[in-house]
This record gives sequence, C-alpha cells and structure tokens, in this order.
Amino acid sequence: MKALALLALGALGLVLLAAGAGLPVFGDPNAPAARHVSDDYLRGSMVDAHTPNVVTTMIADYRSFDTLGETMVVFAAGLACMLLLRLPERGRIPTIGRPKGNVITDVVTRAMIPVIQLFALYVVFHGHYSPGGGFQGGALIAASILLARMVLGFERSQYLFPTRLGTPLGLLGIAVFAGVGLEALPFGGNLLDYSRLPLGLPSDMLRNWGILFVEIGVALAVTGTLVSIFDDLTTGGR
Amino acid sequence: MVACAARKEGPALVIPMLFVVAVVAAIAALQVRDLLAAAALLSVFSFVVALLYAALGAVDVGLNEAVLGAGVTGVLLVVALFHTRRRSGD
Repeated sequence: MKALALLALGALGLVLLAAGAGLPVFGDPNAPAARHVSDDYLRGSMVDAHTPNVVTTMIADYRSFDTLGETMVVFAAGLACMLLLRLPERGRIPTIGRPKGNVITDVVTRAMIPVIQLFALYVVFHGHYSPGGGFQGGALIAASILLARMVLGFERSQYLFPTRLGTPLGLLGIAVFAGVGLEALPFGGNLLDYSRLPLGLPSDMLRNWGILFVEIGVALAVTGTLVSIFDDLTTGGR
Repeated sequence: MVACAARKEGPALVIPMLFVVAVVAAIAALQVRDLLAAAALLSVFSFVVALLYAALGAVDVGLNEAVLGAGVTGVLLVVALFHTRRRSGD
C-alpha cells in the first residue's frame, strides 16, 4: 500500500514538473495573469485611493468584498473552535498548568510585548505605504498576547487581555468592517464604496480613509479570534 | 546599475537554496516521531516559505506567512499537543 502511494505521488510529481515547464517566466509582463486587470490596479491605486501599496488597495478597496468574507471565515473558525472545545462534560479538557515562573523569561517577555505591539500598530496604520495591513497587524497583537499567556501564565496575563473579551472583539471588528461598507448605501453608493462616506474629503482621500477603517476592523477581528481560539484550547472556556 | 544587477542576482541564488531547505524541513516534519519536534519543523518550514515569498517580491504575503504560519500556528499546534500524546503512532 505504501509503495502504491509512493508510486502515485511520483507520477503526480512528474505531471506537476511537466506542467511547470509551461508556466510563464517569473516576472513576465506578458503572463496571462498580468494582462487583464492587473494593469488597471497598478495604474489606478494612486489615482483612485491615494495608496502607493497596491496590495493594500487591492485587498481593502478593489476586492474588499472578498476580504469581508475572509474576516467572517476567520471569526467563524473561532466560533467553531468554541463549539468544539467548550464542552461542559465530555472528557474534561485538561487545564494546562501554570508556568513555573522564571525571572529571565518573565522580564524578557515583559520587555518584548510593548515592542511587538508597537510594531503591530505600525503594520496596521502604515499598511498604505509599506507591507502589512489588518491581518498581519492583528496577528502580531495576538502573538504578543499569546506570548504573555505562555510565559506569564493564564491568570497573570489577564490584565493584558481578559479572556471574555476575545469573541466580542472579533464581532466588533466585523461590525466595523461591515459598518464602513454599509455606510455607503444610504449615501447612494454601492456596498463597500468608501468614496461615498460622509466625511467631506475628495474621493481618493475618502477611499484612503475607508481602507484604514477596514484595516482596523480586520485587525480587531483577527486579534479577538486568535486569542479566543488559544484560550479555548488551553482552558476549555473556564 | 551595478547595484540593480546585484539585487537581481542575489535572489536568483537564494531562491533555490530556500526551496531545498523548505523541502528538507517538510520531509523532516513528516518523518520525525516526536510531534513537538514536528510542530517546530513546520514553523521552520513556514518561515523559510515566508522568506521565499519575500525573495519573490510578495512582501505582504511573506509578512503574513511569517506571523501566522511560523508564529501563531506553531503555538496553536504545541498547545493542541497537550490534548493528545506527544509520540506519533504513525
């Protein structure tokens, strides 16, 4: 059986290698994927949304409906973990013991957490100009809280982020995102058309600000969901 | 001009090396019996793939992979290990 699986995998690998030979060269401007809409995005990002980082414009403006769906998928994953892990009876999830506490790890962790969180805020708020955005920034904030949970222990890291805040924060993030998207409807725009936000700015600056609001929403949703998944895994919701 | 050429040559050499490290880490993660080591090796794999994304110019994706793939997923895998046995039965 194992030899058969290896044979099938080898055959699949050969097929993939043969197909890979026909792919366009890396960075080829005439590649099929680069010939339809990419050009419009590359030219339009600065004009439409005043954002040099085209990836951010793409994720949070041109294709923001996809991103809204993605954020909801992340939150749904958190809810699914909650349903699976917060079972009152069946086979009591073992609570993971308190860390022994070590001066070196404690101090290093306490020193690193603010640095990580400051960098996370930079990643969120500077996403228009440099790599990054809501997902990465939110994951960084969550990573700093997970670091505290692991090193300082569950109780001693509650001051940083109380467990009961996880799911509501995720929901708030989605509400911010969807709220900014729905805001355009009463002012005559389509869903997620930030240029109709009532802020009294030119259209490209409005879309710039809309991207920022959406990124903040994504960051909140990702932070809340990741921390809630971790807390469900370690304590089973107790 | 020279600097530009050097920037083009650098990734061309780094990318195949990163591919080799990624494949080795992935195979090692499958072969190793200790699931904690497997989780660590998957983090290594994710980090190498993140470097690969950055070398290929997809810096946003690389940052995401480094934070989520190498950081948070590794932690979640290790925590999930507490609910099962540490040795792989496979």
